[in-house]
Amino acid sequence: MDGVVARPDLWAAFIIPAYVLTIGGLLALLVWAFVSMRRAEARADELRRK
Amino acid sequence: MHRYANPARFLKIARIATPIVALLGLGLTIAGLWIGLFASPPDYQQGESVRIMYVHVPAAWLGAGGYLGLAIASATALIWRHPLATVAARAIAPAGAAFTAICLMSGSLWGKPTWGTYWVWDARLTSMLVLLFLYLGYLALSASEGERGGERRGASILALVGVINLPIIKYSVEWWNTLHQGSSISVTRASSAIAPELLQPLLLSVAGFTFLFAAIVLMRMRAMLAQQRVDARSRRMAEAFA
Repeated sequence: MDGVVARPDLWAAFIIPAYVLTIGGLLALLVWAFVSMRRAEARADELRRK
Repeated sequence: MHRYANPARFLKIARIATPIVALLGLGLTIAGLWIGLFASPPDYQQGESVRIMYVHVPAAWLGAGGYLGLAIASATALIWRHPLATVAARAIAPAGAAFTAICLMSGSLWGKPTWGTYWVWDARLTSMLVLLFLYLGYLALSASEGERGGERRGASILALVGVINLPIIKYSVEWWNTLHQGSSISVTRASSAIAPELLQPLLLSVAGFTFLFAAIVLMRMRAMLAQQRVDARSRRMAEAFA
């Protein structure tokens, strides 16, 4: 088998990491935007009630 | 446009629009990625690795499209001093930067099986990297000007100067010999160079990502407007007790 280069599994090496990276980044952005919005709006409402 | 420049009116619309846009984005994204991963056929040349296109292309579109939005908002802030324009620009920048970074990383994962390398100093890849640096420069300058209580004019000017990079990104594959393929979809061409079975999930995920980007921007704008109300009220309370 000299000279034969094993090709990596495309799904495991490239496709799944690309999807994990993108979906993970997208979810992180959504959660960060949602949590920061809820916190800021709760603070503003609390201050208005005071 | 000025009718919606009123933050109170904008918030009224944004509170209704945010969940609708977010749910629409999630639904379209899940459908697009599901079809792209499991139902669409592999490409006749690239094989299975073409599936990376369904996350890479929407990220690239939003990285560049987001920058155009940032530049329009910055120009509006500089010229008309629109009260929501600076808020919109500041909301777009981190999302645009994140999508540009995702585009570069997913592109790199596509490049290895397609070209045999994760990175090459090709015109398209380099101009996208410059776009990421422009976003980071805007974020840093805007944060530093904000800390000093400025109007973030320097950051807005940087955003406008950086627009020159957008046509460079778009036409880089035509102006230079690049490893990156040319555009497969065109609004001016009657037919697309991409097979309908591959185009359908791509369009679904582009639409889904765009709605999710809009939801992120709306949520960031609502957070910043609430923070502005907190700051203004705290200042008034401090003055009343002084």
